[in-house]
Amino acid sequence: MKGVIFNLLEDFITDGWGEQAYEEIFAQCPLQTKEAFVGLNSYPDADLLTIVAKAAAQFDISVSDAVRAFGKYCLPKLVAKYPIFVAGHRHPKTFLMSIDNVIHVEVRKLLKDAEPPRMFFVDPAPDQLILRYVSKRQLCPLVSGLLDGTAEYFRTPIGHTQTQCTQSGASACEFHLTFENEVGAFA
Amino acid sequence: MIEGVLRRKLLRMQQRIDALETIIEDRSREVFVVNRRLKESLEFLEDIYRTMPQPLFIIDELGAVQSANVAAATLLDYATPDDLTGKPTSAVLARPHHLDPARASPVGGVLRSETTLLTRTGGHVPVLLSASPLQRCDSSPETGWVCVAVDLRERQKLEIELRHAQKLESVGRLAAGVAHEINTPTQFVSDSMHFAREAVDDVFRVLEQHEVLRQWATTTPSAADLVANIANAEAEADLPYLLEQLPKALDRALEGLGRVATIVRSLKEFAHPDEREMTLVDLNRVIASTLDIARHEYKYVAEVDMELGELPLVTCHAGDVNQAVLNILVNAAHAIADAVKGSDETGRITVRSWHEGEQVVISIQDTGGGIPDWARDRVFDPFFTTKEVGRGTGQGLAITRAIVVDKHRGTITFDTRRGVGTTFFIRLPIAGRRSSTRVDAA
Ligand code: HEM
Ligand SMILES: Nc1ncnc2c1ncn2[C@@H]1O[C@H](COP(=O)(O)OP(=O)(O)OP(=O)(O)O)[C@@H](O)[C@H]1O
Ligand SMILES: [Mg+2]
Repeated sequence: MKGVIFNLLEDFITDGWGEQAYEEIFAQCPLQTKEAFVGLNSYPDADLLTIVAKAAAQFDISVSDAVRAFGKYCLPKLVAKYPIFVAGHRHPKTFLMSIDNVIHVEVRKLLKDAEPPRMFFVDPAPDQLILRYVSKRQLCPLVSGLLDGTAEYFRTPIGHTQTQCTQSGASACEFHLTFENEVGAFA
Repeated sequence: MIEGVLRRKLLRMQQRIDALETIIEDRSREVFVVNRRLKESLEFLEDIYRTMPQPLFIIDELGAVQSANVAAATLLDYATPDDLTGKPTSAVLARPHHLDPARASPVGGVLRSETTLLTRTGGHVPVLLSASPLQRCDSSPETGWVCVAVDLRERQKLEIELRHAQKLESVGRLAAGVAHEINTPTQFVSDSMHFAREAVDDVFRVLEQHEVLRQWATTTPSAADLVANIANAEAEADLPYLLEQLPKALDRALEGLGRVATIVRSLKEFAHPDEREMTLVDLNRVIASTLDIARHEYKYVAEVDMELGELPLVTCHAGDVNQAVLNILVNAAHAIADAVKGSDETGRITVRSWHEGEQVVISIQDTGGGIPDWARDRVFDPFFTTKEVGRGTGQGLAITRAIVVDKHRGTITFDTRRGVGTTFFIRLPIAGRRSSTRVDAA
């Protein structure tokens, strides 16, 4: 995983629980990485999960809730860092549908060796979207969190339920999304 | 406590800055190396593009020449490739609508057609054009084209020469066969004729003695019947006429056979050009002696001008070149004779020679009527003639061509204008046939 995400995690913990809380958690983590995380470099996924797990234990929540909360925290931060990816999108649906063929494509160019997940979409109705997420990392709670963040950013509720998961043998994790407003309602 | 937290955080920040500097340096080095490689491959591609012998040009999405290589500029008569850029497709292609993606083959999208390119001055060049669509950005519906042209003029010329060579070869084989078949009977007919010719003289001598006997017998009454029979027979056979005409007829037959033998010999010569060694020859002397030999052909119809330049010695068969020039001279004399027939005008034959790089050139110009359009690509064909039987066999130029092109690896061409005249040009390599590239069997 790229250092950007590690740094976002540090910000997430310090923003919510203070510098000292982060230092305590960080100090307790047996990490493979010894140096400081730099946005442009890549680090083992395991280190990220170790920190998340330690934080979840510290605050007494489940790891998946922690990851989801982290995803929700990430979205506005990522948008702030790369505002160009929301420019022109008035509805979360069109924004989401650009993840795989625009946003993550650009991410691969900007960050060497980045491995963002693959996303596939089915568009059954103007106010609905089916999102299939494929990643060896299997971070579905992160997807949920990012969707929460997306809804908040666009100030329009997105109902989403996960209907399939690779953890239980499916070929992809599938999310059914329902938007309160149809695309074009904002135009 | 707080201090410790901040100190650790500061330390991490410091580490980050160091790491970022390293990353920037690494990236700079990478960019440098990649740039250099890019430049190298760009130069490599440009070299290929510039020096490739095939004319290549690129048409952009708006239908204008975006760039062209030297070969394309040369083919289309522009001084430099830059003079060609910016020209609309319609200034380069006679049928610009040919560049239509709908016409391209579904495999690879390449469009191949025999079409015509336009030169700077509007001239036409027949080419085989391969055009591949060039889509620079996926979104644009308009395509550019990469066009490679093959000049068909060369190929058309080669095809004609090849067809000619094949025809000559088969005619040569036929001629060899015919010559052989005719030679044998000609030989024994000839022998028999010679025998008959001599026998006739002998028989005539015997007849003279018979005549003496007949004269004497007229005075002998008992022989009157016999004498009358002989007189009748002689009258019936028209003996005096026979005595006068028979030797002449046999002489004419013998002369005809002589001519047949000559033709057979020249057919054989034509079929198997001999492999004698070539020698160093002063062609101007050959030309002069040929003019001497042919004098009786042209002396009543034309004056001859000689403008012989200084020539190096040429490696060739003098006798053959003599024959080649002679055939053309005879044709010139015939053409002039036809043109001035019925008037008391005479024509002019101008024979020139000069030195041109690796070759010498002999030209023979006449003021005859010119070669008609329809005959121009046939005059070198064996047996092609427009002359009446007896005056032409149609072999002259075929033999000349075989001598010049096949034996000496030279070329023969002509310029002709109706009512003005004809000029034949013989070009021979100074160093002989061996100078020209030729693959010798090892
Ligand atoms: C401005 C918008 C976004 C940016 C700049 C962005 C950028 C990134 C980056 C840098 C990574 C890390 C890749 C790596 O370390 O190899 C990542 C991973 C990821 N992104 Fe995005 N992303 C954006 C939006 C989204 C959205 C809207 C979703 C989903 C709804 C999403 C789903 C994910 C997931 C699930 C991962 C984790 C990697 C994995 O599962 O394999 N991203 N993204
Ligand atoms: N100088 C010329 N001017 C006009 N027509 C020519 C000239 N030279 C050749 N031709 C044409 O080309 C034909 C072929 O010439 P070529 O010398 O092969 O045969 P030919 O002269 O007819 O017969 P041959 O040379 O065997 O006696 C001629 O019959 C004539 O029609
Ligand atoms: Mg002739």
